[in-house]
Amino acid sequence: MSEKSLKSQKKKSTDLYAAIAAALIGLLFGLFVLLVSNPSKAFQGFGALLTGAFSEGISGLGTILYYTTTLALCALSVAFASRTGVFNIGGAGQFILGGAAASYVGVNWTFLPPVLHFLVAVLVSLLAGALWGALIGLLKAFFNISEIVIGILLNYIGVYLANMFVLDYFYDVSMNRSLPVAQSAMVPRLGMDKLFPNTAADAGIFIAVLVAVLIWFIFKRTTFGYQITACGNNPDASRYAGINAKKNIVLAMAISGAISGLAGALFYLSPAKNFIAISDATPAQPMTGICASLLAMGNPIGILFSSLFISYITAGGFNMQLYGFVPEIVDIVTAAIIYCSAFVILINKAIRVLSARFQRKGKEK
Amino acid sequence: MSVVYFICQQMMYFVIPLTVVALAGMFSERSGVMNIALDGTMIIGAFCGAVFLNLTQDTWSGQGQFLCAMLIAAVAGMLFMALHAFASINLNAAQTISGISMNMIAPALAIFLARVLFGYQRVPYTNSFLIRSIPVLGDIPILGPMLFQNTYISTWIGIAIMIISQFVLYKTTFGLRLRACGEYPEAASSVGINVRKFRWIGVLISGLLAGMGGIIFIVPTSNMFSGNVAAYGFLAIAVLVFGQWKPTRIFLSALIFGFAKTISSGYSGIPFLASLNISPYVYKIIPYAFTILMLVISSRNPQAPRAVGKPYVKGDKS
Repeated sequence: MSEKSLKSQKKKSTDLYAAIAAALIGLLFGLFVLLVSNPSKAFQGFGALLTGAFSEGISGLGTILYYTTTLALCALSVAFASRTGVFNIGGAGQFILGGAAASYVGVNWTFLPPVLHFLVAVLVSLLAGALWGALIGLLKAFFNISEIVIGILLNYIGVYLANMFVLDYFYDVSMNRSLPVAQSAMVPRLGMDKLFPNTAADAGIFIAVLVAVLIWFIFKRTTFGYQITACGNNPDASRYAGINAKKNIVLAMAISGAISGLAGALFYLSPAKNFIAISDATPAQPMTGICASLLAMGNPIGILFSSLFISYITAGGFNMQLYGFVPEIVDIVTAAIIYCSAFVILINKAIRVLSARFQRKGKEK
Repeated sequence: MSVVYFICQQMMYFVIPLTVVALAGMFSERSGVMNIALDGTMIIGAFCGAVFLNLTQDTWSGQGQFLCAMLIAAVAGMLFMALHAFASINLNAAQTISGISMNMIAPALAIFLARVLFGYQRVPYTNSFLIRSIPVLGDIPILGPMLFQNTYISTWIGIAIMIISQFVLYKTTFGLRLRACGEYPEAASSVGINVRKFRWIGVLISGLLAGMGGIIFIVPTSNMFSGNVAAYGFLAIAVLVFGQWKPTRIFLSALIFGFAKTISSGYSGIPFLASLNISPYVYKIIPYAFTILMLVISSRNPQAPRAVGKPYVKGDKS
């Protein structure tokens, strides 16, 4: 093995250790909060957080995979944009608009045959998400406005627009939500309901895995992926090399938005959900997606696992209600994990120093 | 005329918290630390202030209680923001990520604690702080009803903070050094200024003001804390950018934004707009769309502190 690939492998493994360390510190912080709030039940509650996902046996995996689908796609969207050096915090707007557009097709275009209906709905969601994402890219590239501020503002506008759209075109007055999506537009189950009975599992997880592999391929093997990464690493150098940085930023944000839109479509078209509630709150999944992306350090395959982990503790978090704890503790744990992943570089360095010291000791012996 | 008075009085309820929180952002960013944790800090401040008001509401009321709540909110905000200071100054962490985690942890923690303490997600309190009319000043024709009636003490504290900030930033040695740390920390360091210390102070002032901004946002507009501050921490960042990191301009841009917000939340009280019969969501979108427009306009001449967001490592020449 050449020295270079050995080095990159070493970097990858310390990345993994750092992510695990961040997750562990986050969990410990959660335990600390539990101990402070209710010492007598803290350990039972913590046990429920860690193992609650499987309290109903193996079918719990179905629920975890259902959560993972949306979360992983949201995280992939963040990871894609961050390769160009743009932080896509506007996922919530892209998510809800993608979901609303897909639901519109799902409710109204019933003249389409079953599988095609679903595919068209997904396509429309990609377009809606891409538009909303590209808007951030345009404002960033041509007006140099902080994408964080723009993203947050567009999230609110997106939620209000989606509400307006639902109210005007496919509103169910009695339930204060959108009309249910037609059977033919729902995410196919592909036997997942047989595999995990009584859970929300559907074929969405396969799409998420496919997207992750696709993104991995784009960055590993294509010129476009290389250009995007170059823009992110050093915009000046890439401009000197003849790469159109502005075009790439807009394009990358459009793709990132499309992925968020897809996440919204799969969430609102799933047989377990199939409606959009009228609410002024921004959807939470894209925010958690940022966490999953940071934990995996933007690695598309790593994101599948970090999303799986967060989905696992989310499922466990609901079981903590048995011990009188509110499920918000999961948010606290994930936030603590991000806080730790913010100085992942530091943890990385610490691990490297420690392992170097350890090796030296081994040699002395 | 009563519509004009109504708009002016309502406007202040939005303008003052925005100004104070944007100033909070200014102190941090002028020292070189990017701060998007303002929203989370506002939530912590609002929560702690509301808890204090709730616990003391049976025995105490009036301006003294409100001032005390503001103080407690400010201290809570400062302590919370210390987490951000530690991560971004001492650990050289990615400041955006640290800020995001703070924004995530704050509402989760506030709701969690509210449930533990009160059993509900909400923290209600008795609101006895409205000043119907300031003696003498409230009786001035036209100006009186516009500025000195139906007001809160926080409005005047907010304006005082704006004036003090302007003075501190431009007329004191401390302000000069703080700005130096945000523009060119290597130069500041070369003349013996402790960059880390100044950044810590900047971020702590930021936490102080943001925490206070939390309670002065929720008190005039509601009588309970319900887990969020309507994303005002983020709008304040937009106001900060449009205000070009300068206290008086921040106040002016907060006024413009506050006007848009007043129209959007109070349009049903304005006969002309109510008769137009437009979807309420259009009005809800207005302030946000307006902010984006403001940012596009101000983008031609960005004045951001040059070193903002870059961790300072002594002796690092890059």
